[in-house]
Amino acid sequence: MDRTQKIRQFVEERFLIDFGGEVTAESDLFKAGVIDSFGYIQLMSFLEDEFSLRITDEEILGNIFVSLDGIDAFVAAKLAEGDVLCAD
Amino acid sequence: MCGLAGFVSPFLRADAAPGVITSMLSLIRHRGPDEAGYYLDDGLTMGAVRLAIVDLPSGAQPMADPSERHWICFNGELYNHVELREELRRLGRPFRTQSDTEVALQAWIQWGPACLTRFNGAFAMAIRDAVSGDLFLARDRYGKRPLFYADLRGEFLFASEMKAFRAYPGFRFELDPRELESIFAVWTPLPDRTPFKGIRQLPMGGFLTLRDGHHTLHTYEELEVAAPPFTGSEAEAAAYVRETLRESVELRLRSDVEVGVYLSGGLDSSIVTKLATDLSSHEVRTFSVAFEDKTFDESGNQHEVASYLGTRHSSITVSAADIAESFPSAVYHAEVPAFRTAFVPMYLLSRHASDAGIKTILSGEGADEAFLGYSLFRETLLRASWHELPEDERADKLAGLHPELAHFGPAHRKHLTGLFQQFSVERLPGLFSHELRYQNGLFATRLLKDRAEPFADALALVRMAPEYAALTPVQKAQWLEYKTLLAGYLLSTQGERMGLAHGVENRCPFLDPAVVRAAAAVNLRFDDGFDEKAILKKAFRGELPASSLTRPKQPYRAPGSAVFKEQRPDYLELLLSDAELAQLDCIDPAFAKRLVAKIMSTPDAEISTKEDQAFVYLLSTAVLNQQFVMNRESYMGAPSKARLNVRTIADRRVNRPAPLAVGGTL
Repeated sequence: MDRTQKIRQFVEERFLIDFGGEVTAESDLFKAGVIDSFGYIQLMSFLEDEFSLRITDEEILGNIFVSLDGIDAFVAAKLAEGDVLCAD
Repeated sequence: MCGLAGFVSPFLRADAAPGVITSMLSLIRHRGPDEAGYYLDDGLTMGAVRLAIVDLPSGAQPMADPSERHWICFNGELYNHVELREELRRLGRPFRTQSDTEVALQAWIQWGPACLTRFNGAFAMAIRDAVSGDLFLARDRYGKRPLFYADLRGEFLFASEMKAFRAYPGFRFELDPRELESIFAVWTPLPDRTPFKGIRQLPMGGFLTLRDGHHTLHTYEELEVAAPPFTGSEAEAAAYVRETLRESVELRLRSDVEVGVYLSGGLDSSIVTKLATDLSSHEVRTFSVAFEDKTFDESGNQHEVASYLGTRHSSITVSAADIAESFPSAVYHAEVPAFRTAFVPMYLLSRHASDAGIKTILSGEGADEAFLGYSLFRETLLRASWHELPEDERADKLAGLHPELAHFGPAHRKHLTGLFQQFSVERLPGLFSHELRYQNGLFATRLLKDRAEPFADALALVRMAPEYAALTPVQKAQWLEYKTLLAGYLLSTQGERMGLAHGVENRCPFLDPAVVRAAAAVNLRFDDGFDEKAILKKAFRGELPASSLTRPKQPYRAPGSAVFKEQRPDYLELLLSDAELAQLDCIDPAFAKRLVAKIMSTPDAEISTKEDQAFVYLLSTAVLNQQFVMNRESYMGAPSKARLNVRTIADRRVNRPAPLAVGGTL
């Protein structure tokens, strides 16, 4: 399973949604009512653990983690930069 | 405390009216097991069931003034009836009883609707002017007592509980998907709404006049959460709060029957217990809910407070099996979908109190709204000042927000910062304070097939409220709490409806207008709001066990979806069976099945609050559908043991048909 699929699957299972219907990869998941506080914390922990990356204070305050596309692009960039805690 | 019901119908056969009103009253007889009565004239039929608390022998209803022009059915209490009676007597109004019902009637005759702002109480009432033909309905300012109505094009029904309408010929309940959407999103019905098509509530602080078949609604008092700041010292403010509360409890101990106290173990009910013991000449009895599951149990604190204050304490220990067994009964009494199960133990507690011979209890409801007790208020203060605060202060304040929630712990502080950043700007105009909470509600709205704008009516409510826009963010949060969670769940589903299921009325000293005003004057004057209910703790320092004044608030909770997963009650089939689920027309079966499957297959610890809430919403809606829409008595839970004891019939029909079967007139 590739990176995008992993993130997509996590969000779909955690938030009981199917991307492609009312909610798309570009949807703001907060505005769509998908993300709650518990789920958001779980999602951030998942990204850090699954991809062995560290989200910085600046990044967390940016408007990055609101859509599937945004999250996926962030993780892709982090992995490309090699900004990970340890190699896969 | 009582219940009332009635109708105006040009279509119903005159000889049917006594039978219909008797059946309607019978469906709410649990509210007033002591006696019942009804009044008929050529246009209106109305009646009451009575739980006798003040002036037991002569307070029977319906009650008339000496001229028999005005007739009243009254549900509730006027705590200041003694003072009002004196004032009215000086004005020449005649009195024949000692009851507060007569005070309400004479006040209405003297002052008209202006009487309502003079009332300090919990009430709903119906007054018939037999000369003008007007019907007047009113409800107390905080919505402590219920009053529902249905205007059916020429026919007008009203009752303390909607279930009374089941007895009206041809009346059919139908779930309203638009209202369900709003209820799921906001957690409760809006002040004038219900989950059923065509049925409305008379909003708190409102009155309704029915004249010539047309009804008009008015507001007699707007909710006030702002007040001029208290100008004295902090010590004087604490003394002011204490004295105001003492007076409030003293007023609410006025009763011809013993008054007990619901003791949760938290600060608010401990304060009420303390004042009740100070003001009572006898040993005060306290009643509590304990849980088998220690996660939810507060019995240690309850026993500590009871022992410290010397009350005669008793409690019930509630298990998952108890909640599963009584859920349908409690939902039947609640009449609205619920997002949590915590109301079910309160149904069991009122049964326990009733078995102990108690008809009236004091409770701590309203303290958190008035004195900023909920973490929601601290969260609002933090989010509203988010962009002005330095990083370390944000972190400090985040740390103290929800100490009871693991995901608000230190390990997730950075992630929480990201979350709060997202919720630091208002998205729903006027609803800023509740936007994070409403994310859980939005999730539940996905249960519905058709979703339009779940917050449209809530947005309209705050947009139309006079002065709302000028309130501070935390005052707006209070206003919303008073109008939704307090009236729509805590006072009703978890409060009044559960108490009255077993003939126990609740009185709320923190919901005295003077206490609400005092709180508004002192809030945030001497602290920044992050030390929970600081002024209240100062007001009772040295009078309660130290732990009551120092430990953080423990929200009253009960186990949710885990109960049904573990106990597998028969009615869970309403969700597990595709055929049963399909009976809920408005529910999206695909999402509902997915949610139910996840709940049933996932360890409890991994179920999020929003999923748990959505599940309880779905189950309670399915049960309500069976009870009210499909009229299946097998789902209505245990029938009330109360009997309908009709003692008063006032037949004022000019065109009276055959003689009535039941004897007795006023």
